[in-house]
Amino acid sequence: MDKSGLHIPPEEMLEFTQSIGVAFSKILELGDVKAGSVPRELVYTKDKLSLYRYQSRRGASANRVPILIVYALVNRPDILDLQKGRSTIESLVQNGHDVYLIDWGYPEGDDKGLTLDDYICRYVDACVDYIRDQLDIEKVDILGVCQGGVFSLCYAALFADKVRNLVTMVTPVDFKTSDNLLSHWVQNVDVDLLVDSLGNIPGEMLKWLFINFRPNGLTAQKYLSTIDIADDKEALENFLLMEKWISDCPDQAGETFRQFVKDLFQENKLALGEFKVGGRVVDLRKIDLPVLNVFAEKDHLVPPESSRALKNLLGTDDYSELPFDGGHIGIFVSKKSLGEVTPAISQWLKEHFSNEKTET
Amino acid sequence: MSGNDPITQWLEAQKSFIDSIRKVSKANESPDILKGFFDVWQESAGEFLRRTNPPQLSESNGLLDDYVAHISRVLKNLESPFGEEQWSSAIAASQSPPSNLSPWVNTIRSQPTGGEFEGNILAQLHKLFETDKRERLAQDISTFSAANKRYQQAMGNIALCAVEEFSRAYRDINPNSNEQTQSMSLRSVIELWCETYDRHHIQFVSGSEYPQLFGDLLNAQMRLNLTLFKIHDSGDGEIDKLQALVQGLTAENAKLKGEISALKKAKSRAAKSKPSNG
Repeated sequence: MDKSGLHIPPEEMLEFTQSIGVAFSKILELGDVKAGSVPRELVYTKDKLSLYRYQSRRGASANRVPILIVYALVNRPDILDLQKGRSTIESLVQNGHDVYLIDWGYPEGDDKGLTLDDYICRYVDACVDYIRDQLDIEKVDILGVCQGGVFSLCYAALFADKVRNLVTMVTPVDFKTSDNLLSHWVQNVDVDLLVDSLGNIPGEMLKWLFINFRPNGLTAQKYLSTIDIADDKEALENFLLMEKWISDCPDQAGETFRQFVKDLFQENKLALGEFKVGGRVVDLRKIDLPVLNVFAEKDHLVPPESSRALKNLLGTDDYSELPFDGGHIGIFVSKKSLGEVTPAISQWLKEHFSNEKTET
Repeated sequence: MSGNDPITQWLEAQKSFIDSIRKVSKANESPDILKGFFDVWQESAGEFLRRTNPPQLSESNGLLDDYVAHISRVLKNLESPFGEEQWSSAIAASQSPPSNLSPWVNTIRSQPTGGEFEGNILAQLHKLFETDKRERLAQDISTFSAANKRYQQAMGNIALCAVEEFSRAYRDINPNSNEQTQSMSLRSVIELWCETYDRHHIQFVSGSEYPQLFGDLLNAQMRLNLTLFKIHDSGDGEIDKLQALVQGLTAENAKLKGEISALKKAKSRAAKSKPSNG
């Protein structure tokens, strides 16, 4: 082997290390930053679930039908309102929508028996009923995010009389597309053994799976990038908030995880029309209401084709797609997305506001 | 090995390490193959770390020397097939690094399925290896060890390929490196390594071999976990039964509420549609 020494002068080594130290010192100086830029009110609780309301500036009358956001069980919904100027909820509220958000809380040992039936038919339905009762309306608009989009599709198929419009964001539908790495990795996992052994599935395990997409890019390389933003307080705040969000990964209720991974990731039952919730088949053809499917073209977690499979499975003729040139997380926090995607969702909802077919 | 610069030694040592593991894994040869490597590794790694870190880190408190010595102790436990004595020794070595190294070791230790599980397994093994369930446990440990070895070997191969490509790329970019000139910043070198490694990693985990390796590892680990839990009855069984009962009652309760709600609606609709008779 030829001599190929790494001739980095000690001074550069020291300076480089000190630069990282300076960047991290500045992050530490930020203190305990908290996500959330829009005032909200806790309006309803059930077990560990909390339902929050974000009221539009023009009040409830601006858009009489509010949006209920159904977030995933993986990670926390803070990403939807990370900080001012990087907030999907802020953008929706500024566009005159009243927004309700489901926060699932943190499952504990006594929640390991919670099933998809509980999450969809008991919890989502309870939130929908609360909003309907409070506002004296028959139907709500639902915006489902990622796994929450799957919940929303199931809900809309099973409770069609309570949903007016449905927006799905980065939602997997066909779990067996060739580029779905998560699905690829779990094909030989004995999910029964996993859940029987662990009960709830530790959030740490899911975090490891996500890092497995790009081990260095999502760790060392990312932290090195703090050198570039050491003098930009807003960027450092954003970095810290993102770090907090990434590390805040709740455990997954065992029985729900069992069914979700076996039926969807391993057997693709939703796309095949064989998926059951609470003993009832989720027939997506029963969704005969306006649907807007929003997906990210550079999404490695939920490949675009996985989302786009929805097109041919629904019963509605009123189906639209909104592609975003970005990734799974950027679609919620990037300025580009907030300038394009959220206004387009808002516009689509407004266009469907006077939907005679479903309006009360 | 040509040249005395630490990077060359380091790359050679990594290659030797991976080759050694591969040979042992394939042929079940004498662990002597590893023994030779450890000496090379310890010498080169120590030198590399001393030369590529700020002086105060390497000299003020002997942290790097402690680290190298600790890792060597842990790795040396791989030199012979694992029996009870080796397990105890490995557990002791892995669980008691020098106190000033604990945070560092914890972050760099390979934890393919999470530190929590590995920590649990090691801790439980220490207590339970002498029980009458030893045969089952030994079988599970053996299966897990084999799966873990296959997984780590594959990860090692990725690292080896990445190291080789990194080395080639570095030489291409830095052809005059033997003249002690600098044509790449340290940041660029690190970025080059990260990107090279990730490219090889993604290619492998996207391939057909990875799901089998990952599934085998996780399943073996969970089987071992489950066996340990069964042997070491924590009393959770009774709690689980009661929780399942509560769960069933909650579901039944929700179902009844739904039926009541539907009946009320039907009654309301019937009342509205009933013609008024004045």
